[in-house]
Amino acid sequence: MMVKKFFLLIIALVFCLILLDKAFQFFLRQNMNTKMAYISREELDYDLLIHGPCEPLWMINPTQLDSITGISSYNLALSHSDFADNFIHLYQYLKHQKAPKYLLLYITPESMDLRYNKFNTYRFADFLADSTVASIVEEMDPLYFKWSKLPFVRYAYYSNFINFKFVQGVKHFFQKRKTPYHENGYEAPAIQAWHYNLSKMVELYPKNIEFKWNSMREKYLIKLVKYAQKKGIKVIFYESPVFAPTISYQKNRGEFIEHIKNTAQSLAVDFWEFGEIPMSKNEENFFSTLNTTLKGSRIFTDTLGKHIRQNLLCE
Amino acid sequence: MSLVYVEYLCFLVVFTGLYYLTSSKKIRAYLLLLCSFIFIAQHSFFSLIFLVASSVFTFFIAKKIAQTKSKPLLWFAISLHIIVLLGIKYFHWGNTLVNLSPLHFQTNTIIVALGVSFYTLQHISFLVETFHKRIPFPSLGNYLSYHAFFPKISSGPIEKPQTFLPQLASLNQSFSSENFVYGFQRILWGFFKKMVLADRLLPIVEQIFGLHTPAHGFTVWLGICLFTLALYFDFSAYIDIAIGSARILGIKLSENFNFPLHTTSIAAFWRCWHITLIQWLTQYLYYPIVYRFRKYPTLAVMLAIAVVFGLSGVWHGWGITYLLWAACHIVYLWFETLTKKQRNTIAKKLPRLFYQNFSIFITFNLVCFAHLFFRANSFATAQTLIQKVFTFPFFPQSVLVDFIAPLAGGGSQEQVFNLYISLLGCFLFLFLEKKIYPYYLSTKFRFSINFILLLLIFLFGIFDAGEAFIYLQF
Repeated sequence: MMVKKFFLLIIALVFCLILLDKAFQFFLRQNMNTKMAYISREELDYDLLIHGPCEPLWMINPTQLDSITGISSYNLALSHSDFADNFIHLYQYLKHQKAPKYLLLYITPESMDLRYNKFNTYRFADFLADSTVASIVEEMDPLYFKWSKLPFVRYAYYSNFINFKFVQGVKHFFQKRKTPYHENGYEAPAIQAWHYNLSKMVELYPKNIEFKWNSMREKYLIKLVKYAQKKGIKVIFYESPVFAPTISYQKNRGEFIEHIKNTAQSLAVDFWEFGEIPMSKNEENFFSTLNTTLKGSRIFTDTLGKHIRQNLLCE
Repeated sequence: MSLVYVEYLCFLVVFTGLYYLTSSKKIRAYLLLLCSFIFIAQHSFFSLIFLVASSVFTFFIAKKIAQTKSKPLLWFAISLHIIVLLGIKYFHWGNTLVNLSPLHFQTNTIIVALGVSFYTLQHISFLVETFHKRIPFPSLGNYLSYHAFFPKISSGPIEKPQTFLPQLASLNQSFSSENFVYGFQRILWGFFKKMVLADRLLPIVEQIFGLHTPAHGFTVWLGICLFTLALYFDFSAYIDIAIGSARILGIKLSENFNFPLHTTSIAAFWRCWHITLIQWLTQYLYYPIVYRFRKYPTLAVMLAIAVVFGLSGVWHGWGITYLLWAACHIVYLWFETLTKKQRNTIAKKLPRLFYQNFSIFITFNLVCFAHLFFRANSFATAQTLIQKVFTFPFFPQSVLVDFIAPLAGGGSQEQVFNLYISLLGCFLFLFLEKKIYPYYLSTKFRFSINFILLLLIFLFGIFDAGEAFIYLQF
């Protein structure tokens, strides 16, 4: 009797998990705020894609940029993302949308160091049926990949990052929403309730920090660039402004910039350096070493727009 | 996935299968010992060697004590255990031993033998009980199993030799579906507490204790209260898993918790929190001290409380914060001892329900205040947190900015959503725990509760490795 009940429990649970899996799959695709879902569903056509982690996400406003350059741009960047994460988003974009003319990719010494940003597996839970996505997820998060084959575990594993998106997806489905909250992909930096002062920003970098070049990051950077170039996209690397007083804390920043320059050269990619432009000295423009405040974001978008107009569109 | 759990479950299933395949008491005893050794060696080989060495040493010295009734030998063995425990835990003798031995390897971490705090107390119990001839002398194999028994090695409970050793002598019972159902449900209950409650609360606590965000007094206080809840869910979850696993094998382990957060006094709290440690301290320290100074009963009780909690503080950790944690409880218990009559008089004058709930509220807050020291990494952190708690205005001015965002680790909708889920889950569990527990944890298969718990684990559990067991550091 007990054995019968026990098996009944397992069967009921598996059945329920399969149903949940289907429900999550459906409603997560309805969430227009998830870039992977949005770029897979709606028809988009942009000339310029801005890509990278949170710095470009919060720093470059395509609407402002378009008003300066006269071309259309979309901010594909995602917070906390590394190049593998960026590659999948670009792959997904190009799978469903027309290829843009240009790709502006954020790169700093932090991008090449494993301690900064990461591969956010949960963003791809819904896209594991695609073999390209699956193979990258398997390489970046093998443990997750192993368990993701069980019903619903691909969503349960990172439930803290998935549940809210599922609820939002349900809401968007019933609202028949077609556009995300941030239509051009740009998310204005939040107003900092607890203002980081100079000392706090400097503390984010332990004294004399040494960056470490990660081969996996390099592998996906090259993969991303080559894939974009194969699709006829002109790729440009850019280094964003760095809050000036923190530079002296970073022992081998200069060496890394040189390394990035060499990598760019070998890939036939331009590298635009904005690390130490005048806005870098003003504390009001930053809320962390590399992230700008709304004021800083406006200044940088303006600078970048003018740079694009002069150096890219006049070619 | 927290493979710690999955690997453990697989290990338990395989071991249970092998265990019940044979009905021979001897084979089962060897199997139990072998699997326990594998389990410990998988944590660290040093842990296994240390456990075996200390057990063999204690076994033979206890044999000598039993034969000679030598008090100096007893004191020598007890002192040695205490010195070695202090050395391993606080002076990193583990690293020295590894470097001296053929096991030599480079490591930056402090090597601590798994479960050393728990089985050292068991060794002392065994020595004392043997000296008084209160237990039959076991075989070496059973004595090793007493300490190495895999469900309890990492989290306890601390077992008395007189309750555990006789069970090892009767390992020939056949598979019982009642035991299996109870064990399965107890393990599931533990997994739910760990994955859905404790692991969701710990990052919130980290926000407050890590001082990553400035916050108002009330927010900091809530963070401190949440640490008490997280500690309870975490520790009791491991105990549930240990008790459940042992029960499947037909072995009954002692209970370590009995709804401690529903108690109405600090004395009652300590009868329900980490019960086996307190019972050990009571039996081997509290009673002897009270007996020794029985001519001055109040003074004897106060002295015994101070000694018991002072040593409990040292047992938990080496540092001023642990001593302050112990000092808080000493003061609370002294106050309760000295005001017992007055409090009884007040209790009679007030409505019972009001007095009971008020007492629970006060007790919980006092325990939380002491836990502030328990969790703070340094005296400076504890000082900063206390300053924050007593800085006015106590209540946050903006709910989202000063209250929700610091606890949620930011103010995004997703973070706030996760915070609400975690808090709702914890408070609902605390409210329902006492009602569901006796009904669910029986030998009857509760289909609907099992189903709901499993579903909740899949929906809200933290699978990605989760947080480490808090009590493992002790």
